[in-house]
Amino acid sequence: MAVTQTPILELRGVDKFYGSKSTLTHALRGISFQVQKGEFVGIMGASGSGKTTLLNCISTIDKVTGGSILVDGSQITDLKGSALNRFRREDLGFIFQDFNLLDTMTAGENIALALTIQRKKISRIPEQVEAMAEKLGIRDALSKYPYQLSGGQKQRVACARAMITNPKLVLADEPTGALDSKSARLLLERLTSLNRELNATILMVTHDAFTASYASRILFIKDGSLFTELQRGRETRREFFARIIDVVSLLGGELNEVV
Amino acid sequence: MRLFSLSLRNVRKSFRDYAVYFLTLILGVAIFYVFSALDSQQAMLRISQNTRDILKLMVAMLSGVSVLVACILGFLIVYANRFLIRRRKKEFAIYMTLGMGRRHISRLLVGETLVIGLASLSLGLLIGVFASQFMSRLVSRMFEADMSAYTFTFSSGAALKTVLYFGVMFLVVILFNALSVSRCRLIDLLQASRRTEVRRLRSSLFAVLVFLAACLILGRCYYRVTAGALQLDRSGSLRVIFLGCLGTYLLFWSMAGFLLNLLRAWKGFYLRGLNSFILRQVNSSIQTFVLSMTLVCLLFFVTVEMLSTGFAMNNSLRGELRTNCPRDISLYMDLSSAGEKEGLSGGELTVREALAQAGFDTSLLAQWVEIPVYTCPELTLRSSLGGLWEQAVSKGPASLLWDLPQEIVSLSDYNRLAAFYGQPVYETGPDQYLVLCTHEGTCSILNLALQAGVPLHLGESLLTPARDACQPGLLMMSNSSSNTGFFVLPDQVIQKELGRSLSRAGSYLAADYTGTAPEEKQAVEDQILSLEESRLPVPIDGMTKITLYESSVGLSAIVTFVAIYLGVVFFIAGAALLALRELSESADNRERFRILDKIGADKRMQHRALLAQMGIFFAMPLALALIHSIFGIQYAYKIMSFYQAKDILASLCITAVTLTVIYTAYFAATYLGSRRIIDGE
Repeated sequence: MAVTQTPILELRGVDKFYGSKSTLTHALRGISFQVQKGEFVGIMGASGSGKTTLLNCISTIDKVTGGSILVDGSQITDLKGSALNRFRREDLGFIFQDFNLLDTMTAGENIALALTIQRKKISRIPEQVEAMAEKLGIRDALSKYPYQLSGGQKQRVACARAMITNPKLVLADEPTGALDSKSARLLLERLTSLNRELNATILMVTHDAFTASYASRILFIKDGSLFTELQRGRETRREFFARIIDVVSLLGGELNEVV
Repeated sequence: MRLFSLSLRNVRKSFRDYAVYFLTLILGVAIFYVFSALDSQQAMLRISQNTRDILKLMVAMLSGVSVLVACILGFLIVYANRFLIRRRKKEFAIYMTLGMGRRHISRLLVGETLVIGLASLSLGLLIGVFASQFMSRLVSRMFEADMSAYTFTFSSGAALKTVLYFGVMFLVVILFNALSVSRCRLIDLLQASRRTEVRRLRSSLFAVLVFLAACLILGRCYYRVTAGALQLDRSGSLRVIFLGCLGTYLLFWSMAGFLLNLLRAWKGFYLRGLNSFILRQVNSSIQTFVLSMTLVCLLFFVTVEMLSTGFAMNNSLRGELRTNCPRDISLYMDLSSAGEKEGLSGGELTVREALAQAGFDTSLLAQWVEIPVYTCPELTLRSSLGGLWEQAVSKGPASLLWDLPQEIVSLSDYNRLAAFYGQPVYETGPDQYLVLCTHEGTCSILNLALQAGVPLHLGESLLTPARDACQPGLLMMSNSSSNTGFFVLPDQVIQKELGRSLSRAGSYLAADYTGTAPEEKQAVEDQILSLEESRLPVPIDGMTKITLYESSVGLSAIVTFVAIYLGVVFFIAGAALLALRELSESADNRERFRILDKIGADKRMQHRALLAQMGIFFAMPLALALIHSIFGIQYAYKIMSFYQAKDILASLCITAVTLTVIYTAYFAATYLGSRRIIDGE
């Protein structure tokens, strides 16, 4: 990893409080980390650990109380109005647990919508959609409606929609949460290959060790602070998985149950 | 009392949810009041001075229509209420989990209904009272009533009636709510927000085929009511109506899919911004609501048709009265039947002499013109057509009297009468004839012969047409252009043939009464009308200006008011139905717009998309209804034989503005309500 280049995402002492004076919840306590271009980073933590809050802050759905977040070197915590919208539209891609596909549109149109919203060159849209669908193995699904697709296909369509705009950062929130293990595996393999081929930066929140083992680095969060960090390095996925399990047991609590 | 304050707060909080409901209630109350208060209005009192009977009939008719209107509004209110209850199931579930019993919830709803009922009744009545002042202006314009002594009126009877009718409606709503609350179980309530419906989308090729079929059906209907209107009989019209409904349904069924496929091929449009999303949304809501859209479209069509025909009828009647009723009275004495009975040898008896014999003082007729009329047994409608008769039979209405001898007058006689009536006078050559006719159906047949130059044989005379079409003119005043044709021949021909092929059949008298004030004229009229028939030597038919004006003003008042009343209520029903349908989609819409939000469409884009989507949804049934109307109105005018439907523009503009305001209000309420739902406020 080249340390000299600007990190694509940088958090500096991010704090987040909820509630009023009497009922203060400290959701994030001074979190700092960096993500380099092309990294596939997993964020793990028990429910209530603050991982979703963290994701919401990065995606600008939620505001931080203190500290700052930089995407590609520019501050996003005080973006407002149209600049904020543009940032979300052009620099971020989202993958959700429940797919979030529009039921009235075909898979292809769902994918194309991400481009049309950005008012990209119309003549190039169809070929871009096909190329992306090819990479995710959903070419046959393009003219189908979401209700005609399996969960795994739907998530790959959602994935294509998030990636097609070539965002600086793809945020995935429990992407395998609603999938069976086979579909989950297929999705994660595609995701890793896209990560390599397109040099896409992915930040994935999960509580599932198996899903996390596809990432190249994992950040563990406990009670709003960074607990530890695992680098995959040259390990195989299985070896990495074993190390994740170790940390999870160390963390204790709910995470144990899911393994 | 605490429960009541919760009711009050609920209503205030969800005011925008209730907007469509409120709007419907307020408009309903206002319109109900306006039409119930019609009989107590100045203008109505003024024009009805001599038409007590017609007024009574109209009031009876309008209150009958009011019952129908109340039923429509009642249905609408219960329907709108049901929509609101459904939307609040989650809220009820929360009350229930907090330990509130069903009875409590019912009481809560009763409280809410009372709040809404009182608010909408008072607001509706207030608007109604003001609208009814505006209505009297309209009435006075329409019926040329003297409105110089204008005062503000309030009809307590109408207000009471409105409160009573709507009270009953609210009672039904309360009962309905109690029933639906007592039926619901907590588990259903909690799961009420979950969607179960799976949307099936139609195959595109099939949609295109159905669309083409629908266009063909509608095209055929349009053709039948315009170009082929004269051949349309009763069962034919029923068939056209049925096909029209079917065509409308099929068009809505397929239109969304068809348009979608068409626009999808146009990538430059489809792939710009949220266009693809908007079109998909429209497609989905139209497909879900084909039946509602069809119903709304037909309701709008009926509204436009009723209003324009109502106004046209009123205007047409008024306009025709001025031209067709220029003098105080016209009388016709039929000598042909009386001659044989009483031994009166046709002879020289005039209408005035006959009146004098019955005891009428003829000096009461200030000015008059009387002309003799002749017939010839050989000159009938059939014979006047010559060889074209067979062709004419297929073209004309079956009800024509083909073998009745046609009336004949001499040119100089007719011109005297025409000058008196203020009608055009004519000239002919020594061996030419004229046909004067204003009844459209008969005209079209007589014109066949005139165009072909069919000659007329009359004893030893042979005449050719002076003009190639029927000319306007009249012998007797009437309330519409109903002169079914008579022949005007040169004086010499009449002199030559009189006593041979021609015989005197009767006499027409047109006259003005003495006096200028309406009361004086009325006095003379009373004298003539009270003449005993048995004292007349021969039967005399008559038409007077006063009776014509009274009957047609009364008639057109009834028709116009019933048309406006029903038309506006139908329109409100349609708009409310559309609004409620669209709002019921909002839960689904909310989900979709949430996704748009997540993939980066900003609020402005979303609002614009929502506006476009709703605009199209609201515009579609209206647009189709207007297209239907273009053809429908032509048909209505044709079968009602309106000639003077030109100056209805002002009235139509007022109506169009009113309807636009109502529609915009519904549109705005729906848009804002929907926007609130999708923004998740």
